[in-house]
Amino acid sequence: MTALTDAPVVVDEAVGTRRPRPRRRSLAWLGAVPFLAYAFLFLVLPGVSVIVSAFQNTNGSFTTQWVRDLFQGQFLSANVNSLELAALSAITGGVVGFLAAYAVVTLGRPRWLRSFVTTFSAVAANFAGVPLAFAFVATIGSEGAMTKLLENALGVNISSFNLVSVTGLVVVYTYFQIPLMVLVVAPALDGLRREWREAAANLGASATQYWLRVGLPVLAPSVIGAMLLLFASGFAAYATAVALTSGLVNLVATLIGNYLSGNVIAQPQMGQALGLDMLVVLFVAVGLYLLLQRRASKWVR
Amino acid sequence: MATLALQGLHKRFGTVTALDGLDLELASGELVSLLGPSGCGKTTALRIVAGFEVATSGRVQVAGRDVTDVPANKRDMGMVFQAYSLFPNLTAAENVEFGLRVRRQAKAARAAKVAELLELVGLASAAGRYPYQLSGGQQQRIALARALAIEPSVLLLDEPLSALDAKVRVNLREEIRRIQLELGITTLYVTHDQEEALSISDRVAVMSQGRLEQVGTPAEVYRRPATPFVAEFVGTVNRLTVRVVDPAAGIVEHRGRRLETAEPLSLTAGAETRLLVRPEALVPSLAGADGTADGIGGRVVGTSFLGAVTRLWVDLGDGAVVAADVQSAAADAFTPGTAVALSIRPGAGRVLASDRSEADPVVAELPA
Ligand SMILES: Nc1ncnc2c1ncn2[C@@H]1O[C@H](COP(=O)(O)OP(=O)(O)O)[C@@H](O)[C@H]1O
Ligand SMILES: [Mg+2]
Repeated sequence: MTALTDAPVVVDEAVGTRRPRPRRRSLAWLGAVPFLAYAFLFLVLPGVSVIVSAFQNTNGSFTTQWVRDLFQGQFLSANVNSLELAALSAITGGVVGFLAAYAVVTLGRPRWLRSFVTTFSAVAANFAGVPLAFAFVATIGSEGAMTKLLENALGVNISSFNLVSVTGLVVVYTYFQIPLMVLVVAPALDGLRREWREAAANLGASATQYWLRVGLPVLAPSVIGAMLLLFASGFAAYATAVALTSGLVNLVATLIGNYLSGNVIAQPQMGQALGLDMLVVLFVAVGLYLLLQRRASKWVR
Repeated sequence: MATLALQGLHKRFGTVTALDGLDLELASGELVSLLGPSGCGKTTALRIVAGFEVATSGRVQVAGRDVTDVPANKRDMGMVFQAYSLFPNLTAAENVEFGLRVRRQAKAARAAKVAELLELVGLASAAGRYPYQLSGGQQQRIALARALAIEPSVLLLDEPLSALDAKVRVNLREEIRRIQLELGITTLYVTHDQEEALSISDRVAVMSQGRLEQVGTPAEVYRRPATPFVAEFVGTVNRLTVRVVDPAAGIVEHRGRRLETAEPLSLTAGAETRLLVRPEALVPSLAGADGTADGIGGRVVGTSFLGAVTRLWVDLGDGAVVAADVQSAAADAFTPGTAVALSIRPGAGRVLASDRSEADPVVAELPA
């Protein structure tokens, strides 16, 4: 029973008071052993070996020469190209994908549209390599069906557009970047509560004011995070680039491929250094993504 | 402050009729609860008032001005939602400030208003916290402060306590009422909890299936339910099948036992009807030998201690179990197994008899 007092008593649930739990030894971690072993053998070990070899001379002694070479000549230009390709395809795919996801989530009608778009995106996001390259060459390549159609029907000539270039790769990459964005960002859009929009309107805000002060700030971590994932996938994508350009566009991924397939035999450690290069870029992108994701999940519970 | 009028509101969603002609007027500074079971159209009515939903027909007026066609963000109404309506990216203070920023108020004025409102809801110390760092009850306090910050003409609340723990719920509802009285703001409060509605309202509007069943003070609605629905929905009632003996004297009979209701009944002698009696109007007495005075014989099958009173569950012998309340101090005599006689409290106020059909029962009221 509660006692009655003459002063108003504010009783409220306590928040954030976590009692320290008594530590108990548990054997639950045993279940994680196979997974940890797997991760160690196939993720950590190769990673460490890449890092170690990237700093080793032919005779095994320590050197920073390979890593310094990354910032020179064709390696530097490969990095610039790869970063440009990753950034442009992430931004294009991110913006278009976001708008597409927004349309699908907010329209809600017809019912099948959402599941259709999700399923299609799941497939398209994984459509890469030779088939994707072929599809593009066959449609908008210099002899492509779309190129011919545009030229014959509308007199528009796009045959000068070169698919074998960074810009060309950006266009091709958006094919899987857009669906990837749709998949990653749709749940975040679902997290936008109707109450927020209505509370904002109720308080006098216009739709624009709502988006500027609430909608976009709430979505920002998810959207930027998703674009970082696109960036990482654009940087690391290999099969599509090779299939489309046969290595004619200088990229980090294709250079690594050259070392891997033994096309270049002179300095295997340079391949390891390029691997380290990619590892660092991916680590930064994914790390930022995780940071933003944590922030987003805190808000949208 | 302003009056609020809902006039002939109809709302259809496809084939569902959510509102079927709702008329309700709130006096300036009045707190009226819309009370009814889930799905009866309470939220729809509130959303039409707020401008989030367009009525199929009907008007909404604030202070005599028709606002039916005014967009939601131009209505100057404060709304508190059921839960999770705080902007997650803003602190408690920034949430409260939101409406003032939108109105382009000067910074100093905004800060003063925010401080005043956080003080009012007792959360001055939580100004810098984000919604996820607040408990459910605290979030609702901030939501209330945010709605009040814009000094709205009317305050609308849609089941603001239904997501909270029982104890917080009771506390916060008293708090809402205190603040409402302090500001004298016209308030429409939606709830499905009859205890909540009765405890904080000036008047209660009981709804069922898109229509109003009764509008009255909490005491009126409880003591003089206008319809069987109200009697059943507000408070606890017992249902007894009875036969009218003497309509003029208000005497009915339950399986041969006479029961006196206090008012004449507009039914003919011999007609069968249902008598609805509140547990506190049903007086149990110990039935010493068989056939003590008038009353319904039964046997106590269980008791529930409710504080000041104890509720007896009495089996009438045919499987029907009714509830009757006794003062807890006198409850010891009525242990399970005890034979009792139940009568309607002498002079039990007004009796409402339906003159329409036998399906409409008679309602026995509490003594005033
Ligand atoms: N947007 C909507 N679309 C279709 N039906 C709705 C919609 N909103 C409410 N309804 C229906 O209208 C009726 C009243 O709903 P509501 O006003 O939410 O009731 P309450 O708030 O009293 O529980 C219900 O039958 C509900 O299913
Ligand atoms: Mg509702």
